Amino acid sequence: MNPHKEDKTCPPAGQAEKFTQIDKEARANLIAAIFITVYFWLTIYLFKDSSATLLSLPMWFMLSCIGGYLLSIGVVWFLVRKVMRNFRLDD
Amino acid sequence: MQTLTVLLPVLIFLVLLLFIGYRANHQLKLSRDFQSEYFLGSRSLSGVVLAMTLVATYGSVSTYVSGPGLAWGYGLGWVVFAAPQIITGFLILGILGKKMALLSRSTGALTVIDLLYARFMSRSLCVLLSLVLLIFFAATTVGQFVGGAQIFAAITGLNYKAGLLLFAAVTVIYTAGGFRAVVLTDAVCAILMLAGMLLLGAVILADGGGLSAIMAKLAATSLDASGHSTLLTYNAGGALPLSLLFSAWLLVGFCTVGLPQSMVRCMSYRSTEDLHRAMLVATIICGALMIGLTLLGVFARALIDKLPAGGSDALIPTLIVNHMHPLLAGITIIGPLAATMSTVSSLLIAACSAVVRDLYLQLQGHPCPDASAKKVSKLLTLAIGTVCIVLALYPLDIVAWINLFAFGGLESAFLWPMVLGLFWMKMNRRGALLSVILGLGLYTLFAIFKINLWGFHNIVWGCAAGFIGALLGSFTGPADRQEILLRFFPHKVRL
Repeated sequence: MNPHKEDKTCPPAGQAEKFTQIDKEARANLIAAIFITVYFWLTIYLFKDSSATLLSLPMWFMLSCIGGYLLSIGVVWFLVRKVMRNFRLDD
Repeated sequence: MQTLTVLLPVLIFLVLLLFIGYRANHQLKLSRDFQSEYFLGSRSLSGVVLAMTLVATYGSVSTYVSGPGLAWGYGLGWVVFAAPQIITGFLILGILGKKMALLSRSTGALTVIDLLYARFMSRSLCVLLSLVLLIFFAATTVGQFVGGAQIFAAITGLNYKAGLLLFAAVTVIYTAGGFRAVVLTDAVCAILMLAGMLLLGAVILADGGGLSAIMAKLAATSLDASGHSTLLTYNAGGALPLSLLFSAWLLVGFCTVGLPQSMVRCMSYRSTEDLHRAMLVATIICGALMIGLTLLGVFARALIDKLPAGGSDALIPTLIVNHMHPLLAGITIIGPLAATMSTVSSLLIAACSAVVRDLYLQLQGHPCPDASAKKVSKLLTLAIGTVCIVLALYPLDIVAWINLFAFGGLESAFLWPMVLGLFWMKMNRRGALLSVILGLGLYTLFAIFKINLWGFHNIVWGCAAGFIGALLGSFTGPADRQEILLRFFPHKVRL
């Protein structure tokens, strides 16, 4: 039996399971933010001297700032769909 | 006549906020648990409202005025400085959101400091943090009032003091209605901040002759020795050192997890579904506002080629006055006013809670009873608000100075006690105290003596010192009591 499948249908119920899940989610969020930071600086580093433009704006800017913004939306979408889980907050 | 046309949309906006405050006040009367309703809206925020109030509280008058003004001068480099805010919308919710919601429910905490008291049981820590919060929130409120009143005067032509009294009084009055009034008005403010940005953007693009014409003009402006425009480089042709641009990822990125006015929102929402939705919505609107407004400041260089006499802060007002029909100007100016008011309201209600909940508990030895809280809370909110209005009418240098470093100061004081307190079992009372004293202490000393090491923003040193303080205290001090650890780390404690 696939343990992940079981996880999906059965939300963390006990206090300890919830806390373990929360720690995992917090770590995932931190990693996501670091990933966006690295992407941001990598695109600036790679394209800062390029004279290419996109929609009249410099390529480094479109990739890092606008691309980074879209990336962060995508990353958060992934986090809330695939990593973060629902459970009751009061019991 | 012109003034009246500009004022009309603003007046409608102010009346709307008062009406929302009045309705929320009705809810307050019906509520059985006064303090939970007054300070947290009975933990009932939906995802969208949570996202809106988080972003509206975070985005301030400087987002609207100082940021675009600096971007006018530095160009796209200043957007690089503002860009870390693409992570600000989700990071605090994703890291602290669920644990603060669970633990504030199980401990009955209604404020950030309540929760820190449940974790560390330290009177000195809580009194210290309450005072830090009060001082920084009051100074920030005054700064916001001054900024809002300046832009109000510049655009409407109305007298500075009259404008200040008008919108500041409205803010203080609806804030006295409690947390629900604050977050619902915040949601309206967030929408109007976005609307103001879109209107500004439309006018700049139209008057600048389209994006390519604007970019062509920028490419021919502020040229360096080799004939390239510094406005189109990531570091403003070297004017923005890499160390400063990296610091921004702490100041307005990672360390915003430590802002108490954002933290308290992690205890106020309804369910995990709401939290998840809020993360997505907040990321979308926070990034759009922060990058959008800064970018508009860059584009404005194509319309205004000489810095206005009032300095870079006068850029956006000048733009609105010279390029917009009075009615449109009236709608647009709601944007920065909304940014001001939504920040102030959240700080005021949190300042009130610091006195009624946290200082009362520490000085009296027991929590403030609901009956007394009911009597004093509204009056106290009005009183703190009134003091801030008076300080904005008669500005003091010391208040303006505290306002300048309040943002980073709050981060260096609150970040580690909360983050390590919730996620690291070894973190203890001494660690929390040392973290605040070293972090905020070093940050303050650097600000007083204007110390700048290698171009890094002082938040880097404040944050590092706070971390070291937390480690030092945690490894030398006694471990916290077993029952505390059992409550905060039920998955790690072995009985």
